[in-house]
Amino acid sequence: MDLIYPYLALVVAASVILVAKFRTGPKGFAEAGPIAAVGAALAFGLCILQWGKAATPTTGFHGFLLIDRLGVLASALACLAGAVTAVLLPHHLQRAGKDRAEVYVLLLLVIAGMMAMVQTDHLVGAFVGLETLSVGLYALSAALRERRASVEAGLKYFLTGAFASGILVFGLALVYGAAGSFSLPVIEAKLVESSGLALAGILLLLVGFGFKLSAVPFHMWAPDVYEGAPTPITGFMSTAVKVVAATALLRVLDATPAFSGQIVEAVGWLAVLTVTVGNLSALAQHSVKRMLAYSSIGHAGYLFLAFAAFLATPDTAGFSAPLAAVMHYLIAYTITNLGAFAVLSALETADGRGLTFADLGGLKSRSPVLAFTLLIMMLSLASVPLTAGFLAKWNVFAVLVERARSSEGPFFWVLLVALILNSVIGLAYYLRVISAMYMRPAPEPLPATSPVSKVVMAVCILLVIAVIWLGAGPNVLGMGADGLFSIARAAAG
Amino acid sequence: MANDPKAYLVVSVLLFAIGMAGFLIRKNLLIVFLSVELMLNAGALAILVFARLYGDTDGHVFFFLILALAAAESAVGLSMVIALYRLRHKLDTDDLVELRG
Amino acid sequence: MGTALSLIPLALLAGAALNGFFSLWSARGRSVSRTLVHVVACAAPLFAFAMAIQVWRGLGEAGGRITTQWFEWIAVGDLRIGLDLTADALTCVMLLVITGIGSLIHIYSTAYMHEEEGFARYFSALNLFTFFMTILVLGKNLAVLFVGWEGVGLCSYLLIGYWWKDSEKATAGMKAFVVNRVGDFGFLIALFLLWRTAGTLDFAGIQAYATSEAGRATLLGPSGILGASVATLIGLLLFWGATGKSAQIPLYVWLPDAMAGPTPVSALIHAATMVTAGVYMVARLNFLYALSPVAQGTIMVVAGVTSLFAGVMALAQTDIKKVLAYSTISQIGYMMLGVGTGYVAAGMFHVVTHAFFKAALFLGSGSVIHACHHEQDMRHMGGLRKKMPWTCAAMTLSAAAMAGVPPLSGFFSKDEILWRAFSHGTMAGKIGWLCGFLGALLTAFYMFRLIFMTFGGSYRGHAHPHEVPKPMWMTQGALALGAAIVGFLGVPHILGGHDIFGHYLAPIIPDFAQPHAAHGEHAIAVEWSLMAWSVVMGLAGISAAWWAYVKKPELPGRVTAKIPKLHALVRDKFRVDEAYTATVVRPTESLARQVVLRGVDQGLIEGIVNGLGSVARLLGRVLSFGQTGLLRGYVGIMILGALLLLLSVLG
Repeated sequence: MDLIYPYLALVVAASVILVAKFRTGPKGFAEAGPIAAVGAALAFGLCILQWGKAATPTTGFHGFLLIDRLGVLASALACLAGAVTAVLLPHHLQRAGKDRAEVYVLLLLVIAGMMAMVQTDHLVGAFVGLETLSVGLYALSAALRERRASVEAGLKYFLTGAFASGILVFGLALVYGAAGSFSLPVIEAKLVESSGLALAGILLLLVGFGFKLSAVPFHMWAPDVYEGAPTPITGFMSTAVKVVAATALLRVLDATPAFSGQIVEAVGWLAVLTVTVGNLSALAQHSVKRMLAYSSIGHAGYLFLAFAAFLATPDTAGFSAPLAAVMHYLIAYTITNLGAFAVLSALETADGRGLTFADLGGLKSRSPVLAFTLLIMMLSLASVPLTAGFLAKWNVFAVLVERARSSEGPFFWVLLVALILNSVIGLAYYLRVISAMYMRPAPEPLPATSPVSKVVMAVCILLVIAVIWLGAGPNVLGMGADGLFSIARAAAG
Repeated sequence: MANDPKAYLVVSVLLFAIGMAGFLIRKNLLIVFLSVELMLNAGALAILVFARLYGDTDGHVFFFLILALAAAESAVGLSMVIALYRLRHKLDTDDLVELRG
Repeated sequence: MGTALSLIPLALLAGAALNGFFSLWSARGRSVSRTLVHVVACAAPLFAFAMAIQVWRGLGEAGGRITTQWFEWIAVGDLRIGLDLTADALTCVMLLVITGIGSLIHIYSTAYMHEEEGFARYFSALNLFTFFMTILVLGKNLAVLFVGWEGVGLCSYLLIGYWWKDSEKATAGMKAFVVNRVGDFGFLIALFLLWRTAGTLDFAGIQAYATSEAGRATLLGPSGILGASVATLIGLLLFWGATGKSAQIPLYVWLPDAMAGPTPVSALIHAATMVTAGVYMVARLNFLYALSPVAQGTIMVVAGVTSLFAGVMALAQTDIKKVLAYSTISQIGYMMLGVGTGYVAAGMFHVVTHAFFKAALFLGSGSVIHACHHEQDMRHMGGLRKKMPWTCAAMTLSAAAMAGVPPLSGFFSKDEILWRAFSHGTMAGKIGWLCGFLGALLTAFYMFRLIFMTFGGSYRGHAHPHEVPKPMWMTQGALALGAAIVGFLGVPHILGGHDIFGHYLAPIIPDFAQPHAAHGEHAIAVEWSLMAWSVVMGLAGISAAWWAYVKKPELPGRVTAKIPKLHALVRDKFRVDEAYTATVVRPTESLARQVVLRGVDQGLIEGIVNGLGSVARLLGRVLSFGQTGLLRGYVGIMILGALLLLLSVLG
């Protein structure tokens, strides 16, 4: 029973909002956001409490639920992202005049779906979790249903997402056909030798998860959806979804070591394509939000680079350095990107027009706190030293170097070059944001922004502290630049 | 059926391909939507075939989960289609090009 | 002793925090007493200076090294990095320079920034800079050094962009940022390699490794890249990082632009301290460079060429601060040459003497600019000798020191460097020496050109110059006095001196050998003649400047009229920056220009970098053009991708 406390927190909060909503009627009510935020934060805390016990994995619900550190870490990140989103949403929706309570219910259930997806080693469980979160997110993307962009984003996400689900189900069918079970430990035991059927299935799974992670060439939906969806939801999608999809994909890849050798190069090339296309496209954008959408594709590419290293690393019992690198990257990236989107969402105007670089002009004097937050987040995304983003990318760099020096040498040198070149390109467009805020004059006339609540400001400041602390800070209560390494390693071990 | 699942698998692959083709060829949102459902069910059929082959109940259960999921997807999908229709009075996928670049 | 050591950075940090608080306070519309801000700002470095003297005096008792551990910062597996501070002879030299000269510049700033807004913010950043600088030199390992390295960079951008309303200055800050990232990249890779090779980033640990039998073998072994040994590879990558921070070829382009900041900032950061960080780092790791003649040779050649090249560019500048900026690049070239020879005391001695005379010169130029109402063009100055006697005296003394007039400080330090390079016994040493030797002539010439154009003749401007307030001329006087006498710390043996400075640094130099042995009996004769020649060169430069700018003021005009193209090329700093712009704006035109600039490979290198930039942007455009918004296009590409994936793996 104590295994599902975090789920209970989410579902209870969702139910409270729903019931209260019945009483207030269609108008919605102001407390929905705070309730959702508290629910998600509570779930986050409960996940943290599970961390200690999760050192020895336990299963529950007839093998459907698996509580291990990998899953707990990913769940905690999803809850954190959800809590921040719930804080940002009311401001954003009220400005559009459409603060609907259902949005928060959906958000909470999506988080629950995410947790279900990663806290299992059963493919059926993972699939049900995945679809719970997907269906919820389709609706959340279209939450501002009076806006064309929002509805278009929702529909595009829905149709491409359902298409990807179709591929995923087919992949599951093929893997099932080869192994005779959906349980990953059984699959690992059965599929000791490579077979065409299973290999095709795994590749289709790769496509399905690649879609969620917005890996090129399965990324085309992402810029459009990220641009059209309400900004806090975009922040949520670009972080939490990546966390859980990466975690689930890692579980699948971990359970099929017999195929690693065959797909490592394919994954490597996907990674090269993803970083390159993501970063190059980001360079050409005028809208800040769309730029961040492409940048998040680029970051998915860095994750894929680590996946390639993961596949190439010989399967030793226990700890895997590339896996730790992925988890470290996910933590740093989640916090950073959430901060960036928090600022973006606070700055947007009521008419829902996308923010351009020129709109950021003179922000340092208009809103020093927001400008500084965005500055730190951009530096972290660009992986400038002393930020969390730097240590995260450093890890990926290190595992690639490790591989490049081993037998698979030449191919991993290619990946290393891709990582380095793209980091340089990334620097260019992240700096554009900084120079716009700090060095360009304010636009005339000033965009009509509404005042930002103290809570949002507080969240921004907390995220800034987290990014710097996790990038350069000493350990306090086991967390810090160094503590993060240990946590990522514990999750990977 | 018992020992030769091949024919069923061929059907499943065909259904999957038809779904894909439908998605690519048709412009009407509803038809595109149906094509996606077709793909999903092709996968479900394959799972059923293997479940029978192995005599495994997990596969059967999964089939029902996929059905339930398809229903949920339709509910959300159709509501978005209605929202779009209210805004545009057209259901053409080629009109969804406001977001690009 | 450990407490005194900790108090140095902590005092500065406290100063920065207090002033930061005052800055926020005044941003809220509350008035803050200027005096209070000034007292806090100056008390912090002065206290740190006192503590640095404590540490310096206690060093002998403590056995040449004082260490204090703050806390463990990163501990992953075998990698343990503590935020530990340590001080040895080398650190003490740097500490005394940073806090001592830093204090004087803080005092000068109180008068210089008198009329400016946001002075609390300015002093907060200045204190913070000094804090990071002390961290940089106090770091017990490379990771802590790197924290300081990045921190001083950050404060430098903050201070360059002090008046960020001006977009030109903002661009200068951005340029400095980007160029330094390019340098940092090499530095980081070097750190990584070093960690993987030696298993530690601790200076003492690396030294122990480099001197152990096994470590030596690994470092001298092949690295697998272009036939370089591991030590060479690491050494060159570290030097790559140093070229960024210390403004050497090819990454020097940011320093002249960085002069857009307030003049005291130029004096402290872009002349006396931060830009010498690269020199300090090479000196600190001298045991590593001792293993790689290739890396040492590269440093000597690059440094020598930088000193000559920057000297040429300084000749034709008319902006008083730009002359000093290029002269700084040139002088750092000398320092690098000095540490590149392996006898790091030579380079470090020049760091110290340069800190005095260049800080004095910068502060003097600040006074001149202040007096002439923000006029920086020397063509609109002149005749200030009578109006600003103190400033004139201080600057002339410092310029003479820099030109190598005996017995002022620059004479001793520059001579030591040239002598060490000459007697290094390698081709690279000879090249470095020749460049430095010719550079000495240029140094004397452009420095006295500056003095004569500013203080000689009659006033050509429209303002009403007057002597600056007391805190300003007194600080620059103190620095000039220092510039005059500090050289006696390093009087070489042949002049009857004891080279106190060299002996002080002896414990950190592995082979503290005199190069006389290599030259046998002739060595003393060679050293004497070299010394005589550089004095001649210096005096020739000064006379030439006198001839051209006092005796026959029409001469420079006639000369430049004869060689208009060459003069224009030099005046425009070999058009390195323009080449940079043109490749973006007019790629075809730049092609012709690059043929002209073939001798200056900067045009080429930076052109390629920019060309790649525009190609990248173009590719981005093409890619996002493919993002048509059409749903079936998206799905089509997905299907295609999935099919390719299946075929490539299964087929």
